[in-house]
Amino acid sequence: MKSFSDRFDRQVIPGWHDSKARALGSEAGSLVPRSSPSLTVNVETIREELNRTRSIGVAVDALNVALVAPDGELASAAASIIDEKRSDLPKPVVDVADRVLGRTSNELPILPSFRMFHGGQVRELRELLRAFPQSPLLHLDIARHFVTLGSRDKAARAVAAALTLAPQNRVVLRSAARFFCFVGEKDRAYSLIRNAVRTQADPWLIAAEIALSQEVGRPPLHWRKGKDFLDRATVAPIHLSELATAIGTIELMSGNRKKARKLFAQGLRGPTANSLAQARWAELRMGMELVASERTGPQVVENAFEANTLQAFNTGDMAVALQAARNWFHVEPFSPLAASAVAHIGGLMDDYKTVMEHAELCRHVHPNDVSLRNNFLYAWISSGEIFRGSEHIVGDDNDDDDDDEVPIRVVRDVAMELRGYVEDGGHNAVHALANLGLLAYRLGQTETGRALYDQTIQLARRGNLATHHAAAAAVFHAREAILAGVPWADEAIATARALAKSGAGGQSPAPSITFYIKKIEALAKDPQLAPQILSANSAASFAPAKLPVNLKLETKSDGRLIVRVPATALSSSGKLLIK
Amino acid sequence: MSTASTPPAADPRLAAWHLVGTSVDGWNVVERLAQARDPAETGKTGGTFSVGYKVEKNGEEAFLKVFDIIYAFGPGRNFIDELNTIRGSYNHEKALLDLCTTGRMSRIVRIFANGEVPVPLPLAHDPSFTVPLFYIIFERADGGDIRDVFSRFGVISDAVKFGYLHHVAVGIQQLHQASISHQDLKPSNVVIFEKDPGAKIADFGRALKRGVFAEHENFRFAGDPAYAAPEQLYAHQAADWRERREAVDLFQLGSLVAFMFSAKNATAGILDELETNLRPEEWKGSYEDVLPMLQHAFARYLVGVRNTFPDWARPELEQFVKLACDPDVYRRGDPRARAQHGKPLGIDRFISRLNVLRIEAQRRALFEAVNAPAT
Repeated sequence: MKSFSDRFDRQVIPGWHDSKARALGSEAGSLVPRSSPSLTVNVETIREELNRTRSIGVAVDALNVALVAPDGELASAAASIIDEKRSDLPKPVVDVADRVLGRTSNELPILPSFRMFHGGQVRELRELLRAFPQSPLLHLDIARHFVTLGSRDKAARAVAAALTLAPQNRVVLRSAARFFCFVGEKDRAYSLIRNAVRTQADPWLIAAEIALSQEVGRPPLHWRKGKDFLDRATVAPIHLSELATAIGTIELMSGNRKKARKLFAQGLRGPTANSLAQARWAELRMGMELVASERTGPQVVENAFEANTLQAFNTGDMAVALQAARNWFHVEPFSPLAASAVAHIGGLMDDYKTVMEHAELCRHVHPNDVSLRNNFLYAWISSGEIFRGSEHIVGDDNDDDDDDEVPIRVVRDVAMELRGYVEDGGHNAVHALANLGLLAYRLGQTETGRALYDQTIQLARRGNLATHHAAAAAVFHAREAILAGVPWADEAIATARALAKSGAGGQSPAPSITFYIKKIEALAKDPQLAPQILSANSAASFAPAKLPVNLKLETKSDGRLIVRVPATALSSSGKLLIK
Repeated sequence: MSTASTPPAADPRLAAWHLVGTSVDGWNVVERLAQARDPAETGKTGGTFSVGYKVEKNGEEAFLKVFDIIYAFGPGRNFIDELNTIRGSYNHEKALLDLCTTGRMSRIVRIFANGEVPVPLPLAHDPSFTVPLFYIIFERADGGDIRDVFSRFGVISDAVKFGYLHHVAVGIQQLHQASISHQDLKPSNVVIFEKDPGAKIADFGRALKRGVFAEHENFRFAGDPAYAAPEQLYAHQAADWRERREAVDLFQLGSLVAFMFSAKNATAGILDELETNLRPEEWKGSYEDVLPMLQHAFARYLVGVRNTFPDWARPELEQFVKLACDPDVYRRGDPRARAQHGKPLGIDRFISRLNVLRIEAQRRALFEAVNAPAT
């Protein structure tokens, strides 16, 4: 199964959130902080008038004043009077009064389906745009939903409208660049940011320019200006966060680990969800801790779902990682990485239902993502659904079907599809070949399955791929061998163990391998427990043991276990305070 | 100079609050009107600029506005400077109202009299040492203010509402033609007359005249912040008078239009739709940077209130509010007017819109009356 975390060299490409989420971040804020303009509203006059007259007209006026002030006491007093005359008054003010009086329903709405949700959002935004088409953020919001629904042309028109309305707005430029990246127009994204007048004076846009330059293989135009911003550090750390991590990423890729570490440290002084995720990715890449543990919670960085996914994934806590990945996909459904994360982690947890449902969600937004398709096929075959569901049969011609219980045609089509991916080569070929091996095992053709998995391992070793791909193939081969009860199961397990260790190149094995090999060990001990072990509920059993919060566990290449203890956990005489 | 018939109060600092039963310029002071509580009761000395009274003379009622001098006595304040400030405010408002009277502005409340009442200086040994209590007497609206519409919300006709709004717009235009900007066009400052039916604009305490200095010219909010335009909330001051001052009046006119039907004004509506960290007291950035979010919030507000507009007038009213309350002060106004030389706001076009709606509402009311089934 293919790992989402190794399919990319992550760059700090701008995020694209809906306006409500955007409002929570500092991306929209000014570089030069201004003192918040005080807003002192004199509520005493109208409060006295309300108490004295209890007039409905004054109450309505007072409720408006209370919203601006804001003054909860005045709002309650006004709302009570409005409530008495609610049948005579217009809905907007009655709604506010109800909210003030705590009458808003706390019941959670019934969540509609994915498409219904985004379709509903489009309808609502269309109405808003009809009322006020001058809002660039509304155009960007509707573009997000169009993208998610697979309507890329409509999304493109909406993004163009936003750019026309606010061609130099930071949020608009960055969101538009992200959109162009999504639709594969990275050069256009880069040109947009590079040529914007505002870019040379804006660290957020310089960060985007530097990150995008790497995507299109061009030298960054504003590198020096970006470095100047970081050296001077005259603006708040959060405004420099993505810039520091963007430059840090280039230093990391160039092998300048020391410089990279320093830049990531600067970037994490005021992290954004994007820079935090970049740091988590860099941690995986550098094999060292960059982010202090207290920074990881969403309470510190809003919407840091990607970072949380990476963190939980890196530590092998797959149940937490899957939940974080689902949240990440919810806020960035157009992100191929978010989509891949749910599919990959769901697969590791043997949560096939989640993987297959997720594939359905991704059908429109990522219609041509072979990696997602491979993950779906893995889950479909592993769950056995491929052999059961008649709904997946293509056509009704079962001439070749010599066994009524197996939709041979479907299986044949899947095999042909996988062969196609293998022939296409590239990084999807390894996954497709492993899936063919899986399919062969499940069809009872164990020798063929074994041969295909062996080919997969060889292919992974030959190609210029991440080192643990061969280990992953070996691990899943071991699973199938145990389940099939073949004589070479022990050999397959030994190969998986050896590749997991050697494939890591002296470093800790990939978290996915570490996690899944524990399942293999348990399965090897008692194959009868396969339904329990290979289920979503077993994830906690294979997660690493929880250490006291501040302790860090490291496994060295020579097998030594190192426990790092923070100074706060030690007494003045150096004794460990934690039992 | 006019005089009060009796000494106003035992404590001259509270003189402005205790005029009931006295006579000012021949007008008998009958009743103190809605104001913040007496500073003697609250112990506070801030927040109210003037005290209002109902006065009578020969059976005619009027409104007496007395400039409160208690600020001048506040701890740590320079009495002479404060008194000069109060005098300046009085003179400024009086001068603007004189201009309105001279200009025969039909939709601005008329002024009957003005002057000052001497009040003995506290702790002075010689009672001839006095401080002036400045006042202005206006025509009194017998129909209250425009907020009273809500007490008869289901009864009052659209024609009447559009009539009031048309009058307010005319009043704004009359002021702008005299280079005066009201700056505080809130519902309580739109007063209703029953005998001579219609609405007029009142309270010029925060108004400004182009080229004439006033103390509050330099304030971030010339008027009441609770009804301020978005650019004022975010401390943005346009360089040009038209955008800095007249555009605020237009915003408040549009806000009043929306308020008349939805009971939710644009200032409160926009802030209500904003995330907390974008509210003016939290936002650390500029007006330009927050503007896209304000437009987003305004769109939500507009969609929320438009269903309260009469069906037949909804597109026109929605367009009216959209153009008049645009959070972008540099785009606010009628687009065709803004495209002209000097970028006028096009108040005349807004007046025309309201007039057309008023006439149509009257026509519809008449049609309904004629076709109503006999009972």
